[in-house]
Amino acid sequence: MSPIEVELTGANGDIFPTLTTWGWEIALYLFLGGLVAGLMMLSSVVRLTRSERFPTLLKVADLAGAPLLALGLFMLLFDLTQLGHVWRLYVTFQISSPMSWGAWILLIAMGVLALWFVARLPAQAPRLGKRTLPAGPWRLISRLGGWVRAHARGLAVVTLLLGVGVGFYTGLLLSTIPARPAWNSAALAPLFLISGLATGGAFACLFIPHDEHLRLVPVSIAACLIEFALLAVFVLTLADGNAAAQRAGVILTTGTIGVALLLGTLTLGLLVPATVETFDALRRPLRFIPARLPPLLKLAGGVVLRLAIVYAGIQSFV
Amino acid sequence: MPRYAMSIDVSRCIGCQACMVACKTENELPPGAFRLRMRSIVTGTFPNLKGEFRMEQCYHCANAPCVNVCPTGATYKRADGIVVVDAEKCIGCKACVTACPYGMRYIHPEGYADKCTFCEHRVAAGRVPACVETCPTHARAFGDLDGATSPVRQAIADADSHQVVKPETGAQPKLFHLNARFVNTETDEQKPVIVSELGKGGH
Repeated sequence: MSPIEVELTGANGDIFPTLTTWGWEIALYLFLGGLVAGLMMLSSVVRLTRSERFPTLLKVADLAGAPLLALGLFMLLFDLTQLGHVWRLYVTFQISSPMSWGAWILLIAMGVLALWFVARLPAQAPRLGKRTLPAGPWRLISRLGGWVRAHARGLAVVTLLLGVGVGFYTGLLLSTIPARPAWNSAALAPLFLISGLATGGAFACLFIPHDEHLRLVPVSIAACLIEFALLAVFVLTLADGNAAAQRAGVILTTGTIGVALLLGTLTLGLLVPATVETFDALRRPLRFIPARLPPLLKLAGGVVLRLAIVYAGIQSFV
Repeated sequence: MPRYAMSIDVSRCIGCQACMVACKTENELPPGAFRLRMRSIVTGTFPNLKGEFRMEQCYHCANAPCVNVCPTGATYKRADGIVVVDAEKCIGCKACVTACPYGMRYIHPEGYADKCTFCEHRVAAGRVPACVETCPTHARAFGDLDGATSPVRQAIADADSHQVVKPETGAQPKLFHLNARFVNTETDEQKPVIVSELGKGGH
């Protein structure tokens, strides 16, 4: 075949030679959204089934959910180039836009998480509240906390549904963009959902006592294995797709992104923690490994997964 | 209601870039920002070379991915088929820039997503877009795709061939390349070289 030269004149800097639209800010937003979704799902299931066995997990989820989601939303806002117009998201609903769905789901999730957070305050920080807040608002918080506790089961069902919604949304936001074949896979939303469950559990494991951790281990191992399988399905569907999907598969599996996925997510973020936790479950713990290392590795693997997929997506094209 | 479209006869285009200059001037685009771009394609072995210039801009797709992803409705399709951006509604989330399969959107330095509008202000005044008016070889035609005597319809009818870029995306672009040899060939997969970067090393 004859050699071909292609030159481009009039290219905008944010489009060529590399698309620089979405980067680490969006990856962290998706990671934190997934993590909070995982906490919401775990805490809801625990609350609806056997809350007495995971008291610390519930406390961690209630107190950390709202601040972590706020941090994730901050990353999203940080990425906007017209921040002053952000209210426009909430005066409309665009049914075809996943981001519009996400904006509303995240707003409702934030409200529900704020309720759980407020319900914990009187018990967790009684002196702090009395010292820093006037009596009126503090009484209101206490009454609100009482209402949340009285309606805990109903609120847990809502939280579970919202958790699944937020977790799915973090993947749908990317997978519904056909112009980026590295994202355009039906496996991406379930992958991010399960990864959110795994990272949410890992975050809780940083704070919960050993006996609660041991009870959580079967769920944790299962989440790791399902995430491993979904990641494999995700890459294989790209390899089995059209030319654009195959090019995207090459981007995902080679170079810096390929190494990051293989080493950061697959090996250190999934296989190593799952192996260590399997020994824990078998009551033969690997004592030379610090207890907090596996959850930390899972969290790091979750960050690397989002970074790798976001950057692979903006490099891929139809 | 008209259904606006544009055609570019690639066999007539001499690559003078007058359309790009006219667009920048008409729409007061800042330095470094372009709504039009030119792809120069050369193939063969010297001295037997073949080449063509392909002008690219927003394709005003009938099934526009940028419209579908916009969370605020800032990007919308008018009844006459022109896809426009309301800068006042745009939050700068860049979803549309990411979703455009043609890479024809960018973020204006003022923060909103920007692209070709078929010079909607001129069309409203009964004039053709600046790029069409300025083209010295009359390679461009603009008008109502449904109008029996419209310039764009006649240009398409008179051409030996007409194509849209990347029809497999399902976006149904409303910018047609006439008499082109290299549309949707392997050249589209080549990593483009930015002319302004030539000579800075690496190319």
